[in-house]
Amino acid sequence: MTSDRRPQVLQYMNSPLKEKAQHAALQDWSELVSALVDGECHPDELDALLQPGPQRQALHEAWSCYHTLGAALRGPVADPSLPPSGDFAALVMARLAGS
Amino acid sequence: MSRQASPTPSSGSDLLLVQRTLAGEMHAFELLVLKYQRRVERLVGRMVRDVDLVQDIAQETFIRAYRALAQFRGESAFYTWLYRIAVNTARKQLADLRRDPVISMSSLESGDDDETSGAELDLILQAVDAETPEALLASKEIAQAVNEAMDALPTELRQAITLREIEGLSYEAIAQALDCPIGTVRSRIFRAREAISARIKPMLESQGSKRW
Repeated sequence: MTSDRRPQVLQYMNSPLKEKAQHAALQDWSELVSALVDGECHPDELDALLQPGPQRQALHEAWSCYHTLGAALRGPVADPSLPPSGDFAALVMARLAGS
Repeated sequence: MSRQASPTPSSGSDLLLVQRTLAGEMHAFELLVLKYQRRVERLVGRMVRDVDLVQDIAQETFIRAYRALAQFRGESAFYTWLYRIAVNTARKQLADLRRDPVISMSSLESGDDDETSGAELDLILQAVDAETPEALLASKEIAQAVNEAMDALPTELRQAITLREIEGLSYEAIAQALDCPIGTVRSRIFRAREAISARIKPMLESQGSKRW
């Protein structure tokens, strides 16, 4: 897989090219997130997704957005089609880290 | 096109994320929290009207779930297991505070069964209460935008996302149904999600800062 190598390559690129490559890398990340939502991503792809890094915020946004739109498609009986509030998960994780 | 409710078709990812959490990858658990936060809040909100207490109990539910995660065997859906922890956490907190639940616990305990699916649990919830008017409106607006975005999708993307999200088919089954490679299915579902996301992201950004 190439997406996990892209960040190292990016430092050698000029700005417009870098921007384009960053966009492409984000697209790759989002496709992995989409597959993860469906339980269809490979273990090595999951490894890449769970790596710490600047892509984490984009991962969270795509993950939450895809689940929200899925809930909306399945209708009102399914899980509520509202996005998670921004700080809830961070608070839970901070409590777990502190305990 | 049928848009009736079906069980959340993504329990495979839940199990993957549980396994990764147990292997020490905390970020995997954070994804589960993000996914189920609203459902747990909605469940707890049926029992407790105090918004701050709902948040506390919902947080405590995930903390307890994390600590008990090794006991989750994957025999029931992750949400079914989480549901039970949320009900028990709420019951204990209310008892500690000597407060009565808003509704009878027995109506929620009817879902306290490994055989009860997430969709059935949601039906139970729907029967016992309604969303707050603000949450209902926001949810309806998002649903409307999603459906409009669906209607604007090219046919091949709409077919793929429908078979996945509404019918709950695996990529392999969708590939057979649409007579195309699995990689194409994966790409079409992703492109459909991206197109719909582009329409609803501004709404989600404004709703994400709110509590219900």
